[in-house]
Amino acid sequence: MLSVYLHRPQWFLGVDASLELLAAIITLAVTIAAFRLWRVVKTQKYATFTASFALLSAAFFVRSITDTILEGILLKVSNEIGAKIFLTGYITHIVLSLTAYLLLIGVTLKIKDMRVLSLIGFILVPGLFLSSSYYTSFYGLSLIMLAYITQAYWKNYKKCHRSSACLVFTAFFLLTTAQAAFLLEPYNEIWYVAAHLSQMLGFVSLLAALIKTLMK
Amino acid sequence: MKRSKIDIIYDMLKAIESKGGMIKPTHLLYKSNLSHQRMKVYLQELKNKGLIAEATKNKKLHYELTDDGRKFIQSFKQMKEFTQAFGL
Repeated sequence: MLSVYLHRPQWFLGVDASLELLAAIITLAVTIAAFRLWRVVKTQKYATFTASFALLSAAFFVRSITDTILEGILLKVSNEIGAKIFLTGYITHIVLSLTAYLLLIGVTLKIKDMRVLSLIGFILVPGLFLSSSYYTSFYGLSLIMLAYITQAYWKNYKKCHRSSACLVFTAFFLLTTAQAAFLLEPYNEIWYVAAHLSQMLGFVSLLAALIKTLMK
Repeated sequence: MKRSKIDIIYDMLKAIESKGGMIKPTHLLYKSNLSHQRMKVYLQELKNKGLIAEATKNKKLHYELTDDGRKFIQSFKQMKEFTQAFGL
């Protein structure tokens, strides 16, 4: 049933959902650390950053559950129900992820005017929903947004020269690479594996950055 | 280099700690290197957050570091590192 929706190798079934769950846990850890900071400082950028990672965590949690169901790991579902789960789960993941990236763009590029952010948000809607393939347009849009975030984190690293900032840059560079690999997935299923591996390494790098800051 | 909000809060709390946990408003103004107007805003915020409290010593107003204020100083390095790592 799964092959109807995505090209992924049989041996990778379950592994992808586990990696998505790991991503959800790591982003949740960042959310908690950012929330603790926001409670002390109570400024807009910390609130936006916390919301961004909370949305990203929710996005990966939803995606993990969706893939677990579609791959028949927890329960077997009919094609009709599977199609509905696929559509609901993936659209939820897409909307949550893009909103998270949008907020992160606001923080990293220091966009203070909410009208600019809402403008970008409105431009994303037709870019996503008027496309013939949500999947392709989502990864295309993610690739562009994450590239901007990565560039901002590179500038941040060049400014402060801290190893934790380098790890954050590396994390977002790998996440950007993963989006490119996801775009190539329709041509060969090995790209799906490569995308997940790149994404996992990105989140591990993010976890390393978080641990490094907490060890201070 | 311009101090961030978190740096200013830390400097103010450190100034109180360096005076044994209690400081006069004029000393705090001098040590935290802020204008009177800005210091008033920060003092209100620190009181609201429970990081400092008003106290009287020799019938004069002082600001006292609270337990939460001491915890803030301890976790400042972590917060600073997080802020720099994530470009906040």
